[in-house]
Amino acid sequence: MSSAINFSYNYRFASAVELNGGRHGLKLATSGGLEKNPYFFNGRLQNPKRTADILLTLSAISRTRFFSPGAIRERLLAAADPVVTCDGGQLRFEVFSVCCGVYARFDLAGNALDGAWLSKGTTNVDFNPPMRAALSALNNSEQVGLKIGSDSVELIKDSETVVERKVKLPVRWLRSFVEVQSYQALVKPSIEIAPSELQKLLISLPQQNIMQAGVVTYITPISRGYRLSQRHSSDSVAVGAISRLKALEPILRHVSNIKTYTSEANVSAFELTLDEGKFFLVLSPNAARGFSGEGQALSDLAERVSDAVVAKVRATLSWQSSLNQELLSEKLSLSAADIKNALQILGTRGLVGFDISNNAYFHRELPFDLSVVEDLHPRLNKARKLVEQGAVKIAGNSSENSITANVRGESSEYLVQIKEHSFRCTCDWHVKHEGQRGPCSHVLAVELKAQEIAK
Amino acid sequence: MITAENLEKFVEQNGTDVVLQTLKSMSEEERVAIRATAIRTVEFFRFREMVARPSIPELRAANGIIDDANWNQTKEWYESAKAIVLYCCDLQELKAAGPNGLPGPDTALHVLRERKPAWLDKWCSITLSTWPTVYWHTIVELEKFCKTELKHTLDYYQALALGLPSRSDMEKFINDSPALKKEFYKFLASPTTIRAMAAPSAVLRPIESNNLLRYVSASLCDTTNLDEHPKRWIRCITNLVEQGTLDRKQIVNLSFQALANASEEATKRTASYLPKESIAEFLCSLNDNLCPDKNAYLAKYASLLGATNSEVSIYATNVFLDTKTTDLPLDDIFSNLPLAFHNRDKAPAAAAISLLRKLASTSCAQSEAIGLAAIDAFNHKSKAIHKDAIKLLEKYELYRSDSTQMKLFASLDLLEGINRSSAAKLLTSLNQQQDAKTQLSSEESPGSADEDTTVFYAPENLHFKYMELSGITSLCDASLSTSKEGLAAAAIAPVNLVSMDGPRLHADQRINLVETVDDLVFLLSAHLNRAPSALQLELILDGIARLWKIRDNNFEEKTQSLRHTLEQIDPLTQEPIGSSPMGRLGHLWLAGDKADATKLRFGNTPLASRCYSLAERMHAGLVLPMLATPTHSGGWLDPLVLVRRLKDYQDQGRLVDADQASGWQKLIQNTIKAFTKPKDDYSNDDAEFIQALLRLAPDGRTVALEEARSISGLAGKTLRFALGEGDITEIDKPPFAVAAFRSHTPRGTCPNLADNSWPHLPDVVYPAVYTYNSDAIVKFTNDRYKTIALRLPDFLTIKQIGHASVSLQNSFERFGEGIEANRDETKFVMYPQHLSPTLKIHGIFRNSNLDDWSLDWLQNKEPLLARMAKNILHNINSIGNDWQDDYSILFDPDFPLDENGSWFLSLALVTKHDDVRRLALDVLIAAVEEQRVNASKIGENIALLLEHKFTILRWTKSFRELARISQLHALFAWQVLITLLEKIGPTCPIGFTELLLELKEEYGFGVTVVALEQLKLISGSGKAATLAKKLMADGTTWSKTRPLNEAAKQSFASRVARVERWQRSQYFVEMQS
Repeated sequence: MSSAINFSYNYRFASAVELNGGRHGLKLATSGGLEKNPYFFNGRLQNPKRTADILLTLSAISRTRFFSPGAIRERLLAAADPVVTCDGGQLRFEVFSVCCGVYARFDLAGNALDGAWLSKGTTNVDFNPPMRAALSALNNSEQVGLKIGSDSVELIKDSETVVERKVKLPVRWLRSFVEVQSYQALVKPSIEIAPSELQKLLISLPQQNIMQAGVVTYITPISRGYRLSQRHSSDSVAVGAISRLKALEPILRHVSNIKTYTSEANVSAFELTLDEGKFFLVLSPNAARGFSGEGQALSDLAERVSDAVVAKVRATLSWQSSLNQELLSEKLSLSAADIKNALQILGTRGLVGFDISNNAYFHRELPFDLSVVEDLHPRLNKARKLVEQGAVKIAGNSSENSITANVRGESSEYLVQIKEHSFRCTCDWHVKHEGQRGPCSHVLAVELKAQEIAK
Repeated sequence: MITAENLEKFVEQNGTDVVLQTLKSMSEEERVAIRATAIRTVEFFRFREMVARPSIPELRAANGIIDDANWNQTKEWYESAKAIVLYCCDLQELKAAGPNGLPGPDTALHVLRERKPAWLDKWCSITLSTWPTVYWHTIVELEKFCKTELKHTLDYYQALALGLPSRSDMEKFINDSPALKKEFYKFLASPTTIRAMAAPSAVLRPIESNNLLRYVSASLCDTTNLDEHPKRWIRCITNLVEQGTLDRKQIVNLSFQALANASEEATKRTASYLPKESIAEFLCSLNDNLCPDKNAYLAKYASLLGATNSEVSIYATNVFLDTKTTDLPLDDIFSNLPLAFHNRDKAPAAAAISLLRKLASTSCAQSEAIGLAAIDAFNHKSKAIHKDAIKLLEKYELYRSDSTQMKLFASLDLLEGINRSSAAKLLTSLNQQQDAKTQLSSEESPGSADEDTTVFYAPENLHFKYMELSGITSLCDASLSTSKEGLAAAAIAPVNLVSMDGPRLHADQRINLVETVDDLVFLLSAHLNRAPSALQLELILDGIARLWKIRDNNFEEKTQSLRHTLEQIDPLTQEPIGSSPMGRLGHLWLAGDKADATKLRFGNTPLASRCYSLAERMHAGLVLPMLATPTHSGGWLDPLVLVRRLKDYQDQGRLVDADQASGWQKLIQNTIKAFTKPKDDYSNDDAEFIQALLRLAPDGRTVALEEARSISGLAGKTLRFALGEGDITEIDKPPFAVAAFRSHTPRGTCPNLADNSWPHLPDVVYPAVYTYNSDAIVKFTNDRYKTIALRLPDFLTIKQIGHASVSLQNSFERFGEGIEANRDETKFVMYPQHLSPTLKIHGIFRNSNLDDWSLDWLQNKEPLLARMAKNILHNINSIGNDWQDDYSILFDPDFPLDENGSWFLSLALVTKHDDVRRLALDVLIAAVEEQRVNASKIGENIALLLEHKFTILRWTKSFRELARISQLHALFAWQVLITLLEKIGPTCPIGFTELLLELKEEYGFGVTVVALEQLKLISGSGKAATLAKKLMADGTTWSKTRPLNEAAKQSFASRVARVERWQRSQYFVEMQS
């Protein structure tokens, strides 16, 4: 299977900060979403310098490779452009780092903008070097307009060249979008940290973090602030390869509060509250593990609910910034579990994202053809094949809460056990990752077989 | 006409001009016809040119070449031949021909101008990327002559940027070229162009290296001096702007854009032997030339103040330093300047401080904003920057507003030593100076008065014995006395955790054993490729021992993947996985009682013996648990459980003290016997029994003793002695006697064996006594091959009691050489080291696979800790992740760290590996909280280690962080440093005295008399003397009582909690009920 797909961003013009009638206009070129080059918003930034700082941080993350194993260094892939969603009240910018181990999202709130909301949708935004240079030159003394999309024919006429940026969009990047939603749904709120305290912790980190890719560090509260520890405690936040948090340094001075989120899988999330909105940073368990290689969404992709249920839920999507599961359940007369599962599946199809601050999904449609995503999961494909080949034999002593099965793999027969909150397999892959990267193909095959029997 | 037949002669007989004329007159078909010959011939002429070179005179002489005239002739032939190739071949053939298809630039221009091939664009692209400085001009000229516009790729721009400065008329050249003029803005906007202009050597180096690799003796390498190129470009662009050829506004904007892009990258530090890549320097210089009046662009310069690139940041700051204060855009400066203090280099921060100084001296109206910006300087790592910022705040009184006071207070923890103390003095308004002090010292008891005295009374429900062990009694006594020093000592005094009176077994800490075959399959599968921990290994052994007879209908199916894995080759060792120790265990389980004894080679270790004993029992058809499998967390074995397991053994006719070896068993034993004396009464069960004794928990022994009375034979006697009854002289098997004695009295001398005849090996008859050996560290430090040394640095040498000091390693070697075999067999039966686990831990070879020592001897952890300390020293400068021990055991609240543990901690706190250092600090924090560690010993150890020049900053950082945890931790850190000061006096490093001063100012701790005397010895007017004076200011007085009282309260509460936990232990509860 190829590790990258060719993807072209077609921009009608290059994003830029331009002087127009004595005012700086921030034009963010889009590469089209559901429609051809829609424009969502036309207005002014209330606080240009701070917003520029945040957008630059976001852009820096999208261009950073926090981990470079030798093999990947050989085939460097171009950084992908941020995805922006407009839901009619705020603008959401989403990016992954080049290594796919860091996910960042900036929700630019409506109150930080002054202008007209023209449409809703999702697209890519061009963050080219001149644009970044212009952003970094913005100061608060200037008035800066913001236009998402090509809002006027005149502008396009001025610069007729289509800006086309061909990138090798890594398949890993697409898979990451799918996986990060599942991880975000798992994280739990933890401690709140003052920005100055986080700043102190970041200062204490060495400049160069060699060899710490796999190390988990815990941010632990003490009587006077916080400290970095290697030991888990009940109120600590586990952060894999903590030096990645340094990406936040440029905007910490604008932040009023930081909420942290943690999970058993050592995925951590940071919610930064700013006057302009909220900035989220989600870190994978360690630098060597991009979200793309995780398999938390695989069980969801194995579909526990019917297509009809998923279609019903999908029909209700209309760019909501928060999808209330209870209301949906009531409205659609479906069980809460069905709604939850359907949203998880929609998440794997790039149709909803997860907002950890609301603990709810939101509607946005990724501007890529995600119908291919399911096919991009070799484990799931393999599992389906195993079921088709009749390689799964569920043991007679299995119950609803505990399934034991033998799965005939390519080279051997594997013992699989699935309990309510855990699974085990004797295959090398599971032994190597201890289930931390989601279920192996054999576990998935047993899940599929069990679903088949239940139907 | 040139034909395939006459090509060689034609070239030799005619000059290049004639060749080109002839080729021009030929048809395309005629030229195609000579392609193959041309490619062959050019190689012939290349060889002739090569041998004619003056650089290889021998080769030249051998080929009859007399002078340079011959060489010039061959060069022309070669040039003509290359021209023929270029004229006749297609692009693929030219690519394959490499330099053989590339005549000189003028010839190439002539050929291609005439030929005008369809693939000209591609040829240009390839040539520009390979030989940019040689052919850039050819390609520009080709564009002109062919009247075709080539695709201007990045390589095209790069070649121009590299090549143009080689022309003396570069400005005229640009002026005369409409295409270049038109595209110049696009040209300058490209980062590739900028890099080629600023750092031509760095750009060309990889290109030329690549050419040299691809084409041996490539003759086209550029040799132009490139040093002047950046300056030439700056002059050229400036002149073109001055002349009006280029639009100043656009060029200035482009220079700012380039500066902004360059500002995103930190200054690159290239190796000294490589040319410097000073792109930022080039851009700053260009911008400086283009903008003589900088006032028009001050907002743009402000945005560069916080540049990640230090050169850009300094440049922008210098612009403001040279600008009139009245013209400065202050808001923009204040919003960008804080980022200058995040720069990893010191210079941008220093420049930013200079700018703030300039503002403060002239703009009083902005004092609050300047003050706030100055406090941001505390974010920088440099202490000098902190000092300058504090001076600035102080000199211009920038700290008086509420917001600066708040920010100063919040940022105090970023400062150290005198800087911190100076900054704290600036906290004047809002009573924050006072608040800061009180908050730092009394967060847990905000209401208590400073002069509170603390008297502790032990709760009545605490057991007297436990109160003694935990130090509650001493602390209560100390609280009644007026001596603050005494109270401090009692507060941090370690709990007696080596006593056999302390309980270890808690009902809620029972270990879950493997229950089903499925669980065993999963557990074993998980550890075939990855070494299990000591506990996991015990669970696997025990699982096999108890479940091996269970063979379900689908046993084969369940274990098929296991069998498959055993056949696989381990990529690391290139051996089948089944041949590893874990693999052999897997084979043993799968084969059951049919195991092939010849394939069960576990080795010669106590663990191997236990595996053999398991194999023997399986062969005998016995299903019996392993004797030594732990029952409780920490690896402890409930004595009652051991008694019952032994009874099971005896009930099934398996006596651990009898030689029951059958013929089959003898075969297994032969492996071991190779290492033992021929006639000893060795049984593999012995190792199992000995290991069990060394894991025996101290509690519950009385109850177990009652039930153990029915166990017969030597095993019964041994077990009863271990449990506290009987006479050791009745145990006539020395390994059993030693193990039982070490289980019962881990740190005593074995009475009946204590004479001069036994080798005085550590923890066998005599307890190990460790001596610090500085020479071992020196030897290790000077060892060039230390990182791959097989032995750990033996800096904690064992002192041999009653004998001349013999190094431990020699004793081991003597074992191996069989020297000990000459001893009297009846009295001094010598058992190999695998029967003495207490001795084995003292080995100083580095850990190998399955070497987990953590559960080998639980009643005495000192050998384990000594080993861990040596391992830390061995890897003290390592940043790798492959050498760490399992430190989780050190978090056990009953794990004593006050002896060799203090060596481990002293060294671990100074390791280079950040995570290990942090983990060691975690251990220390927990150990201080639980009173498991001795402050004075750590201080003494560090005093000894200082001579080895370890990085002191790592220690000071660790103790500073420790002190932030609580008053108790601060008191502990204080005691460590005071001991250190007492030991080394005036030579105490400044970092430590700074920290002492910080702690003194915050907590009011008192200096001891000895430390005071040492401080008096520090004279002069330097920093050390200033610090000493400040430390001596209060004499030995404890200037504050509350922090000490708080520390004592915390210590008391923790000790009480410990005793209460002990009183919830399994046997204590049973005893009470």
